[in-house]
Amino acid sequence: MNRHRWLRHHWNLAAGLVILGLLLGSAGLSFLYVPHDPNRTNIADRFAPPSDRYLLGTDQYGRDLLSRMVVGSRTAIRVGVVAVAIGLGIGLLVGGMAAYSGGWIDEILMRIMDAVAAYPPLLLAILFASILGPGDISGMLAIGVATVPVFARLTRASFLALVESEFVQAARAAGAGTARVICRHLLPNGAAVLLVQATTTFANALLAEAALSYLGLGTQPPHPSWGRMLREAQDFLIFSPYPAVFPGLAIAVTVLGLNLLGDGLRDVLDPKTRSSAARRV
Amino acid sequence: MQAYLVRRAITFVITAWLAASIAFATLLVIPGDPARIILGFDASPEAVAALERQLGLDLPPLVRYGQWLSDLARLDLGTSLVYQMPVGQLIRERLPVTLPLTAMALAIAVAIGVPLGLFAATRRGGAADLLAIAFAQAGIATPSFWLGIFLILIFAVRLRWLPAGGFTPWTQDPERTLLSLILPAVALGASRAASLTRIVRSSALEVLSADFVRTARAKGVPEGRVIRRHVLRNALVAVSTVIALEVGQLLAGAIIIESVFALPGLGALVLNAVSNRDFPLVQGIVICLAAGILVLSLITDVLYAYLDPRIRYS
Repeated sequence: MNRHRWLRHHWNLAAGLVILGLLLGSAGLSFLYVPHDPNRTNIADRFAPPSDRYLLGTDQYGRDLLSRMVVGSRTAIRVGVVAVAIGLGIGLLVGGMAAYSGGWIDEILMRIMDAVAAYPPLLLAILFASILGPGDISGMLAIGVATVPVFARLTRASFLALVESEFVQAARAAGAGTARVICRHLLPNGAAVLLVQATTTFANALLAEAALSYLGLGTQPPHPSWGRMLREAQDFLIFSPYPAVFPGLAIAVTVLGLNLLGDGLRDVLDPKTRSSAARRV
Repeated sequence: MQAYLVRRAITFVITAWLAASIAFATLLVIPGDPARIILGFDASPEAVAALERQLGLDLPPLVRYGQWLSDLARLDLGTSLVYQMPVGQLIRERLPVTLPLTAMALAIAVAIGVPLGLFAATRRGGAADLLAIAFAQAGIATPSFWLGIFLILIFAVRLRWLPAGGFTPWTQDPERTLLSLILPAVALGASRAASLTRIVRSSALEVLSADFVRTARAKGVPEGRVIRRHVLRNALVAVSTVIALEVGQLLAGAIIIESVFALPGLGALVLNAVSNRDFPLVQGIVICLAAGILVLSLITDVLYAYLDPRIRYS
């Protein structure tokens, strides 16, 4: 397959990688350089439209929007990474244990997962915020916990399917212990599904964090976060739409990129859909 | 069918009990002393002790759990600390805002998502299909509250067609009430419409390549009839399986949208409760919403089993 054909088949993967690269790049760069201090107010320059001095304009306190958005991307990444780590970590453990033990342990664990799944992530986040107080910790924790059932079910299903497979039986017959079977055979083969789910979870965590910050339950001022910026911008819409446009655009483009990345990864990693993806175009 | 219903009813009761227990357990893990957090640090020891008695915090956790569970079984959600009213009553008062909003958003999502997904599937790979996919991807990625802000800017501030927010009670002026729910319902329903488009499209694609569709076409059944009788029906079964999930998303999303449009619904109530640290109220609302989602998924499962005999016997 030459490069052009690869790109045509996997444009979503390429677009997703580019957007994720931009996000990580700008967050990384923000530690070295930002155009303006993201928290410095300058009343003379409030509601400035995009210009050479302020590339994306300024907000109601005259703070530079670009600088605030770039620093805000760190929050987005941190929340996404922590939420995925919690969901994947606990989900792997619970799903693996359920698949391996079977019987009533399996039944109990999966019923608990059903119960957790009854709570939409945002609802769980509100419950946590009422207990731990507002802040990005309760948001990350809640979104992480809310995604545990998804990862647990995926892990359980893929482990159950793999345990029966011939190569795992062969490894067992050759004397491989439980730990070796899990680490060498089950995890690498189940990783594809989990990786795809992780990208989707990252996107959902980002959306949920933005929503929480918008509601005032997430990242607290003066730290910039995309959701919080939108809440503040809403009150001043008539003066300047820019503070409401750009942070929302950042959320939408990032989530879009992550979802495209997830779709693209699924096409590449899952041989069953790979053939149909090739047929599609 | 009967065996399936019994099995499903048992899992429903167990899941509902576990879900409620999760909400109870969160109250136990509040760091520090809940009564002191609620009253503030300069509260007198007598006031703290009185509140602890009111919350039942002076009893051992297991006794409290038993009491709380038996109250819950009688649909008693406790008393709000701030309003000093039964939580159940407070929730009922807010339902005339949140339920119509959710229902309208769901109607919008289904009205757009089902035809668009079906249309895209029948024109697979074409320009219309690509446009539908682009709409679906963009809609899923767009935060509802961001969309809401711009709907306000365009339709309320600039064009002045619809109210920017607020809510007139149904009893006063139903027409105005309906108008004030249109923008919020659109903002809330748009991303669900996008997600339904995707689901309907992929399930319709699956059905379109099924043998019975080929047979129907080979028999000379007109294409429109094939789509209506075979593809749409099967695609709707797929929709019915995700509807509980979608309503769950809508109910949670309503909390944000009510905040954007200043609607006095359940969302406003729960946010108020969070900032007032009114734990029984937060807990009650959260349990109510989770229970609603569980009941809906029970209903859809039973419907699904009724529609599709394969489910009953597995």
